[in-house]
Amino acid sequence: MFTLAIWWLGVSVEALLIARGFVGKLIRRFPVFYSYIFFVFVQDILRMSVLKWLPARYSQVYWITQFVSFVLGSAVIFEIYRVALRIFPGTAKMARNVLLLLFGIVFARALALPFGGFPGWIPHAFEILEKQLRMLQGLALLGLVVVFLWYAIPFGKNLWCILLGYSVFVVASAFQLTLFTNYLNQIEQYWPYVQPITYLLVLTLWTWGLWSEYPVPVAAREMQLESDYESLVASTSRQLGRLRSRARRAVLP
Amino acid sequence: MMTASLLAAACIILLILVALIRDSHRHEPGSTKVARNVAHQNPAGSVPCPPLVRQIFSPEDFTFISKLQSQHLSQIYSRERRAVALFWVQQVSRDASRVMREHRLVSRRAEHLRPSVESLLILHYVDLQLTCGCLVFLIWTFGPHPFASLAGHAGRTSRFMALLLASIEAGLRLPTPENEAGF
Repeated sequence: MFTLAIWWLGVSVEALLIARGFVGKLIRRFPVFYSYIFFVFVQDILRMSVLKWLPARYSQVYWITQFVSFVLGSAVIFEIYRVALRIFPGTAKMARNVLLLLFGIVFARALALPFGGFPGWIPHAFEILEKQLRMLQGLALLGLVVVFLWYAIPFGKNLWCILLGYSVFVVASAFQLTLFTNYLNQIEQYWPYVQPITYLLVLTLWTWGLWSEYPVPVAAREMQLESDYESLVASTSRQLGRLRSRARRAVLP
Repeated sequence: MMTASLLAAACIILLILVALIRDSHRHEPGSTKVARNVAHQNPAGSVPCPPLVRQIFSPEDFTFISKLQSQHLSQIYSRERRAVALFWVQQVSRDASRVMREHRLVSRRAEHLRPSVESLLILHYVDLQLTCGCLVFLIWTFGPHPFASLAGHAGRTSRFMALLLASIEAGLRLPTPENEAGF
């Protein structure tokens, strides 16, 4: 009964979020995010219908929709990157390199670790796969956030709420799936409630942050010509080198 | 358990960083192009010149004060010189932060930014900040002349170890052929 109430509440908040997206004209600014919310809205109704009328098919429907939801969620991360860095091409290039490096490390690690064979992997295969994919999303978010902070990218309230909400969702999912695969016996009774309640909190955050459109702070324009970047790099290197030699003079007076 | 703890730590770090994003752009310096040019022409104007830096960290003054054999004077000297040394190191660190902040704010719009060059600059900056951090630690621990004090401390420790080993060897009275004959 309680889980059904949470489910109804979640669906209602999703509908409200989509409605406010139309009213506040935010759908044009964040089309991928609202597509994700709309898909989750349809997915929730579909799953509940399948659970009620075709319970034998529920597992298949759950994992197929979960996979599509994951792909759309990854597209949300890409939209955050695209919207935030639209007028910062230099930072966008750094962000792409950081993400490529992180994914390269993850895949190299995956290739290097020995594969223990299918029999031990199958019982919790999908949970383990989802956990790995959520950790990959978390890593991508971490890389993006570090780049945003380093280059002081201005964020409006709308985009910041999307980023914060999705980060909380990814973090909570990865954490819950780690607990599920390692401590199933201890948390089995709480499992049906934890994820839905977490997602409901995230939906509430998104509804609050996306209630209406907020302007993005404008960053002052500094660069004029391409040649300025080369001279900037040379100047910065020179200054850092000078400071470093002075610091070393303290070590070797 | 280890994996869950590491995951929890990474998650907390991610959420803290996201929370910091909201106001990160508000700390941009109000630099116009003119102000930036002035800063670049006089980049480390607040850092004392090299001869003064050598004087701050040189043990010559400490040697002179020590010869006066006044404990009170030595304490005053250590306290004041330590404060000057720390202030200098922190000034270098602040100047480095200012240089990198200006670089970041200007380069973020560069269409042909080179990630390899940026990465190298970041490494140099981190190296400089780590050097300053180590200097602060050494100055706090060993006083305003950390490496002279460190060398003196190492010398005293090695003499103490030598005396200790000699005492242990004398106390053990290692058996000799003359001693065993008594049994």
